[in-house]
Amino acid sequence: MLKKISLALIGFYQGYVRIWLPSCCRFNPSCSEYTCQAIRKYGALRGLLKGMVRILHCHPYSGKSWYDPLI
Amino acid sequence: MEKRLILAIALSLLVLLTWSVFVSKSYHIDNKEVINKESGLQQPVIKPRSLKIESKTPPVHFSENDKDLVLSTEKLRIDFDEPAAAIKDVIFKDYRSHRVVLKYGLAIDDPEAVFKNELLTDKEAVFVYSGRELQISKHFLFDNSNYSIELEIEILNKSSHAINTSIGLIPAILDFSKRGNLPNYQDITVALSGNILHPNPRKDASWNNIKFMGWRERYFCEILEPTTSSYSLNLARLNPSETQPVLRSPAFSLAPGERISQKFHIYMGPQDLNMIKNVNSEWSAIVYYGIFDFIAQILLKFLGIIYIVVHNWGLAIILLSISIYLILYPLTLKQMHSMKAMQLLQPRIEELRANYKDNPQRLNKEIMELYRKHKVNPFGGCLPMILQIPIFFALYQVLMRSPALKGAEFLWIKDLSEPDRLITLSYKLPFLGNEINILPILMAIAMFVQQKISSRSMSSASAEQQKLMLIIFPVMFGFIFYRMPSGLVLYWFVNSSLMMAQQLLINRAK
Repeated sequence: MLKKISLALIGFYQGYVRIWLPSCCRFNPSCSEYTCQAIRKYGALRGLLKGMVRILHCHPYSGKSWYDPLI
Repeated sequence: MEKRLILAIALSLLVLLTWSVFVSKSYHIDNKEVINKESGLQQPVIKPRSLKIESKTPPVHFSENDKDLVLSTEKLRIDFDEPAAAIKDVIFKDYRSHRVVLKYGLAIDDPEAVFKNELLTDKEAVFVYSGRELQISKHFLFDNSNYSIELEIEILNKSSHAINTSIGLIPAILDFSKRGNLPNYQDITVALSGNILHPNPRKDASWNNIKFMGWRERYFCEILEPTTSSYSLNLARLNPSETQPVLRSPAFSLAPGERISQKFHIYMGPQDLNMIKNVNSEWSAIVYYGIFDFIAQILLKFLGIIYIVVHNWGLAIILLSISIYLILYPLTLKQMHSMKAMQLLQPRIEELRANYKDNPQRLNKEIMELYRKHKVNPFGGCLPMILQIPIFFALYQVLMRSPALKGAEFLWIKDLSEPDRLITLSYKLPFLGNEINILPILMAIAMFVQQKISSRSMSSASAEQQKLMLIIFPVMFGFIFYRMPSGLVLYWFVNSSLMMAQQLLINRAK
C-alpha cells in the first residue's frame, strides 16, 4: 500500500514536476529514479530512506561519482 | 544550481499561495453566514460553555456600551465594556497605536452578571456585580513598566444557603472574520505541566490542569496564568468565524457569607521574547514560529544581535542575508573549482562528441567515464538549495510576526513588515493595484540579470532551452513577492545580487 502510494507520488513528480525543472542532476540515475528502484527492491520504508540518503549526498563535497546506480 | 533553488521555492510558494487563496475563500463564505445571522440578532451573543449549567442557560446578551470607559497608561489605552467588565480593545501606544480587538477580553462567562464600574484610575479598574445571591468583583491592576496585569476575582455568597459554583474566564474572543485582527495570525498556546501545545484554534477542544495559556495575533499576545492549579481550558466555536476559549476553575462550594478569591497573572503586550521573559521566562513559549521554529529562533536571535550593533533593522536584514551567503560559500567555492576542472576537460569532451555523433548512448557513457576518471562533477548538487528553503520560510515567519519590525524604516521603505509602497497611484493597475512597490521589481531585475549572465556560459543548446525560463521566473517571482513584507524582499534581493556578483566572478575566471 505504502509502496504503491510512494511510487505513484514519485511518478507524479517525474511526469509533471520534473519536466519544469532544468536538468542538472549531480547523479545518474536521478534521485527519483534511484528511489523508485530502491522501493521496488527493498520496500517503501527502506527504499525511501535510501533515497533520502542519496539526496543528502547531493552537494559539491560528495565523493560519489556521477554514475551511482543502486547496488 | 541557483535556478533549481528558485524553482523549488517558486513551486512551494505556489502551493502555499493556492492554499491560502482556497482558505480565504472558504472564510469568505463563513463571513456571509455570520452576516446573515447577525442581521437577525441586534446584539453580540456569547454562549456560555459552563460545565454544569450549559443546557439551562440562554446565551449571554452583553448589552452594547454607549459611553466609553477608557483606562490609559503610559503604554496602553484600554477600552472597557462596562456591563461585561471586559476589555473591548487595546491600543499599544509604543507601536504606532496598533489596535488589538479582544471583544470580551477577561470577561466572566456568567450569563447573569452585569457589572458596574466602581473605580477607574490610570492603573486600576474595579468592577462589581451584585446579584441576589452572589456578589462578584473584578480588580484589574496594571503595571506601567512591563505590560503585566494582575486580575483578582472575588465571589461572595450573599444568600443564606450554600452555593456550588465555579469561575470561567474568557481570555478573548478569537474572531477569524476580517473585521478585527488579521485572521490567519491568531492562535492559541496551551501549557500543561511539562508540555506545550499549539492546537488548531478553529476546533473545539479541552484540556485539564492548565499551567498557563496564551492567545496571540500578528504582533501582540495575551498570556494568562491562574495562581491556583487545576484550571481547565475549553475551546468552543461560537459560529464559523468566532472561537471562545474559557479558562475554568474547578467547582467549589461557598457557605453563606463565605468569599473566595482567585488571582491571575496576565501579560498583554508585544510578542517580544525579552519583554515576555522579563515578566516570566516560561511564558516565552508563546513565541512560536511553526514547523521551522528551531531555525526561526536562531535567526531571530542572530537578527537581534546584529541589530544591537547596527541599530537599523534594514541593515540587520542585509547583514543576515550576507552571513547566510557566506556560510554557504564553501559550497560555492568548491563548485567554482569543479567548473574550472571541467573547463580543462572541455576539449576532450568535444573530441568525444565528434567521435560518437550518431551514438548518443555511447557518448554519454564515454563522458561519464571521463568524469569518473578525473573525479569531477559538472553539477554542484541540490542539497545547498534544499537547506535554503527552511531558512526562507523561517525568516518569513520571523519578519511577519516581529513587533520590533513594525514601523521600522529603511531608505525609502516606511515599514519593513509591509510592502514598500513607494508610489501610490490614483487609479488601479491590473494585478498590481494602485500601489507601486519598487523592491520586488528590483529583485526581479537582479534575478533576470543573474540568470542571463549564467546562461551565457552554457552551451548553445541548453541556453535555448532556458530562454523561456529566463523571463518566466523573474516575472513569477516578482508577482509572488509583490505583496510580501519588504524586509523579506530585501533579504532575497541581497541574496540574488550576491549570486549575480558571484556569477560575474565565475565568468571572469574562465
